[in-house]
Amino acid sequence: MPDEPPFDVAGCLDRVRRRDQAAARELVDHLHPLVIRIVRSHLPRRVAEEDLAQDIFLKMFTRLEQYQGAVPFPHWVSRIAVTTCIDQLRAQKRRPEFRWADLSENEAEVLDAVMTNEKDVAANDAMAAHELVHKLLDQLKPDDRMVLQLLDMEQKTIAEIGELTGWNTSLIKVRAFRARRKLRSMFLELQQKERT
Amino acid sequence: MKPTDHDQSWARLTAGARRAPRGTDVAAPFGFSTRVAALAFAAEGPMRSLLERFSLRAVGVASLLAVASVVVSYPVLTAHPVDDELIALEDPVAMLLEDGE
Repeated sequence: MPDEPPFDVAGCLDRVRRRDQAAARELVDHLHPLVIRIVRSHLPRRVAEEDLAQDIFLKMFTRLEQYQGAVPFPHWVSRIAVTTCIDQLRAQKRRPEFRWADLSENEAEVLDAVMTNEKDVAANDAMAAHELVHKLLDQLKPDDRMVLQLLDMEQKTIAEIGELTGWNTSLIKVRAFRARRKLRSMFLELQQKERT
Repeated sequence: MKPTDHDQSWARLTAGARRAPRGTDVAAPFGFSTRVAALAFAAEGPMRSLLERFSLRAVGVASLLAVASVVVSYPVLTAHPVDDELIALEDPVAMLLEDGE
């Protein structure tokens, strides 16, 4: 079977600028995997992933005239996706309190295990660990949460985070430091609560 | 537990979380791209095109009216030149002042 030809982003963008709806649909279909992965990684609570993806694509079309081609188009769209997720996280002013009682049995076991022994999380507890990480990240300020998510979960470099968010290196480091300090205090608090 | 162990706990937790299966279905749901494309063009289209269409038509109509009024008025203006002297003689203020005297 012959390889599928690469998607012609530049040609498609030209057609979209000439208000070709078929080209717009092709562009959305082509970029959907990229956008939905970002949305799933940073999805705030109570927000449907499809709604957020739609917002991102609508912003992309609205700002299309601003795209000058200085960076590859998918990078430009990724940045719109990340900043839209940050805006959504900021819009959620209230963060739920993190309590042992709200954790599932599996999540509580995983948390207890990582805090009390030095073993890695078992493969079959990966989903529980994933949920737990997101519950802990939800306790952080949106910008700090974004930095830690990108650093520790997606293992991006500081330079890549800077490209995605538009923040400078110092700001990213400060946010990471602040996020880790908050996490430490949360772990400490959880330990004390567990003992009592 | 030493304070730095909390960083290790977090590192172990995130390492475990990274192994969680990710949503493999990343293709756009049926109808998603059609809806988004239609919304995008609907949001920016009619307002701009209406403004463009009406403003250009308005400029055209105004230009035509201006030319037509000049064409219609030109013979009248050239046939009856304004008589400055008559106006000066029939100045109502001057006439009133003269009556008063």
